[in-house]
Amino acid sequence: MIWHIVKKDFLDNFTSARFVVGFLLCLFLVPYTVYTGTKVYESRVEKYQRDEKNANEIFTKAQVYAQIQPMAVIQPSPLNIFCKGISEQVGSLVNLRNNEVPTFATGITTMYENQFLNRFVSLDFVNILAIILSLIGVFLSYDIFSREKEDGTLKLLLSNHVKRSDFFLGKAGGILLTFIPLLLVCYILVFIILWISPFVSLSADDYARILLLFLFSLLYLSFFIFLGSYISSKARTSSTSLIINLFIWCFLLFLLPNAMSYLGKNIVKIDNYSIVRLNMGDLDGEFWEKRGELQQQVQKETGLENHSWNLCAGWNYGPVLLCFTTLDNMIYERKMHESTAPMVLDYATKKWHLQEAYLNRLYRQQKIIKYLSSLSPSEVLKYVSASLCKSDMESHVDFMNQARSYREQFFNYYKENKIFSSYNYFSPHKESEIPKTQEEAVIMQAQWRLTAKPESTFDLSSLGYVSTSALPRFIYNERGILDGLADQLWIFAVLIAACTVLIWITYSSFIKYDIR
Amino acid sequence: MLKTIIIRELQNHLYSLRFIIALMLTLILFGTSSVSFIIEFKEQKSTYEQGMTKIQENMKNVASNASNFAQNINAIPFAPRNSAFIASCQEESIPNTIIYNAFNVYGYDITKGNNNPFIMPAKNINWEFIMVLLFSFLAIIFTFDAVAGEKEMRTLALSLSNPVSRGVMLTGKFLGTVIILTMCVVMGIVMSILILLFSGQTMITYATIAEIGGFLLLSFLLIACASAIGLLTSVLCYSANTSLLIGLMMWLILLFIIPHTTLLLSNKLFPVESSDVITQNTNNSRKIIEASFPDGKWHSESNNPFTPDHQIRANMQMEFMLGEKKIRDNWYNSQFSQYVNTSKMTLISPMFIFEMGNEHMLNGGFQRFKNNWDDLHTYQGQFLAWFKAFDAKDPQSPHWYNPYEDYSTSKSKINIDEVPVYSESIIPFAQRISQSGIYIALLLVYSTIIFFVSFMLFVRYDVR
Repeated sequence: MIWHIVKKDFLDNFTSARFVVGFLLCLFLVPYTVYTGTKVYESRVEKYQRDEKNANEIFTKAQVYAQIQPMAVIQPSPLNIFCKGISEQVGSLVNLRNNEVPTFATGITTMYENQFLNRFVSLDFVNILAIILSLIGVFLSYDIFSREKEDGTLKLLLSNHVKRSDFFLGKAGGILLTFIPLLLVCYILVFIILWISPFVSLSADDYARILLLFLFSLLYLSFFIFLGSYISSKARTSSTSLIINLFIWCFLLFLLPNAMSYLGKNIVKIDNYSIVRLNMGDLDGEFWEKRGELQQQVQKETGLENHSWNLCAGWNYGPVLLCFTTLDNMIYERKMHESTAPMVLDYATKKWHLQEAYLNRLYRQQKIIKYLSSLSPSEVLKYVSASLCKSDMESHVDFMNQARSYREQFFNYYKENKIFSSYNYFSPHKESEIPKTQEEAVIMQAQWRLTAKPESTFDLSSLGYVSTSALPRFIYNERGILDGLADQLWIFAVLIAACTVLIWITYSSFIKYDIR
Repeated sequence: MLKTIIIRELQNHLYSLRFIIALMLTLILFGTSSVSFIIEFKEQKSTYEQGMTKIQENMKNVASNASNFAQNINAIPFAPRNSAFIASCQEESIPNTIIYNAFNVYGYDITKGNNNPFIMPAKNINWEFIMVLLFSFLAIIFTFDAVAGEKEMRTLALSLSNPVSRGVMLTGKFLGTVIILTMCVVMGIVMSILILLFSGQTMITYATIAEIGGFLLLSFLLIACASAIGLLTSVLCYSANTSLLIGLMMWLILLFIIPHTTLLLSNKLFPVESSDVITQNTNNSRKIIEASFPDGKWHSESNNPFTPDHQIRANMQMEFMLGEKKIRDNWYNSQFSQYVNTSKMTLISPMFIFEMGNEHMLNGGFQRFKNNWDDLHTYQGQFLAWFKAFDAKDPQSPHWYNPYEDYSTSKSKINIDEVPVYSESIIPFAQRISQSGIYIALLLVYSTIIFFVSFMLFVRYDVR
């Protein structure tokens, strides 16, 4: 009997105008948003390839060790096409400088660099699922019982040997069965577009994540189907049921997330980031004072009051790529770098305490908002989808933590191998090549120009490159699916609980309904 | 007869479940918007004042050396706006800080401020948000069964068999919806203003009252436009459910799909160079300029500002700055054009027209940024003139202006009170409302055209 009811409802829904309109809209919107998503992904891949090349060139084209300020770059995931999460708000590139532990990633992760275009809405596949399919769910379920009551067919049906539980299960099953082909068609369209794109290549892990996303989408839709069914079982007329369903839909999808975001921001307040930067600036001021004292000390030791550089192509708390400069100036600068470089790292660690406190508050605020927003099923869908598609906060934090650990490893290598104390830290010249007098320096520079014929003043490539083969390199280890889902377990459980409660109260309401 | 139909429609709406829910939601949201504004405005003002104090302290520290003071890069954020309870104009997501010193206005940025980049984007709850999201939705909900419902219940034939012109009937239904929703908006606004007044945190000045009036006019037109759309779908469909579904789909298309589409098209139709190309062009410009300067251009001596090489170096650095400025200013102007053209394309959506109308009327968003950008260029000229006059009085300075280094200009201490100060200009309301006139006219035209189409279709509808 259940199967008969399921089959009948499935055919009724499948051939109804509301399903056809919704299906056609999905047929247009899903490929469209996925196509735009692939374009964004393509531009991100191109950017990643350029950034990776630049990151490698930092090592291959370094002429002195002070020039090497590594970059950590994260490869964009094709799953971001499904759900962009926070991936367009955070960068994909981290500059690992000696003077600061990185707080945020940088780099443009959208297709457009014009920041004024942030004003416009950008949708992804999960947004479309959340809005359109939930709306279709409401439209298919709002009159599941109320229509039968209005038409008088419910009395007729229940006066036969049809159990109420069978009828309930049949109706619910019919609507759920209607959605499965709709959802399958949406995902098939997505796959067709992804397979056509030459930039997109999915791994086994990606397919597993997409399968989980499909199952979770079904769970999300079930919420709205059972919500619609419950209201339909309580409402006297279909129009009342529809109005209440639509208001709840609008409230859950658009009003509640914004309200919860606002509430979360007030529960956990964060400092203005410019204040954090200004406080870090105070530490910078302290650093420069200490450096001033250090400078006086080194001047006394070397007997050199003023510097004279013949060619200096950079700066990193002291001259970098210092060439054709006399030995007394070079000794001075070496002593300065030897003391200053570790001090720069120490002050970076001190500044990190301020940054870390600020970041912890950001994480806490995000978590509070996430838990509050779990009252809205569309937000639960977005958070779980972001986790599956590696565009959630936890994935980004994991990348940043790995980048910071690498930075520490890199500069510890410098300390352990006494690179700060060597001439090669700031000059391409070996100690034996350094001119002793200004006349020697001028002659050396003139001879270099004649033989090397540099393209510009700072084209020092003929002076050679430092060896970087022993230097540690950044390798990013991605999180597994289970790690990602573990972060979202709580809100996932809330949605399952909500669906279970809705099924139970709808069933109870229908069982107790007085047919007279 | 029109009056009778309007009164009948008003009565039907007033006793309906949808009106009760709509009114409850309106009052809750307007109340929430006021409370959230009071709390956030107080915080933003406090952090802005803190930030400006820190900037002043930083400037005092740098004031010990006039050259460093002039070269010091300042990032001036925009102050929190008093009228943000009406509309935020997306100021938190577009550039809201301009970077400058005495020599150049370098660019702009979005200050992170109190924003959390790890939170999925959410809109501020303000009056504009309520109108764009809730009231456009309500307009569809209130009109979807205006005609289609009567077709289904077969009361349309009965109504039309009376001596009632179709135009009057349709106009009555349209006006009934517009009036009831406008009443809800007015009640919400009144409640919101009372909360603001009782809080004592916000000043309601004559300018604010004028802005509220302008907002109400735009809201009335948005409601009219959305109601016309709902009425159109109602006239087109035989079944109320199908009418509602199509109406909601159109609502989603106008609210989300059109802005998303224009965003995608903006890069194709109005392309802008990437930052990598700009950096490459800047580097090439530097190479060409550097090659044109003689030897000694990078030589420096810290104890003798009058070293002749310092003049070469200063001229070269100035050329670098001007070369980069030309490239970047062209790039910025192309970004501004891209945004303006994308906005023009998005004017297909009545919700976006409403937002643009508010932006112009309140001088927020991009309008505010552009006004500040232009004014800051004027200020930078004044700042540079002040520095040059100060430097001219110092006999220790050779007066060779270098935008990046203090080798060849005055290193004397300055009196910070003598430095010209930048302050944001206030645009008179009359000018602002005239700028938003085009958007008011557009909404009026949209409403008229859509209603006219509904009217033509309704007049031709065969009741048999």
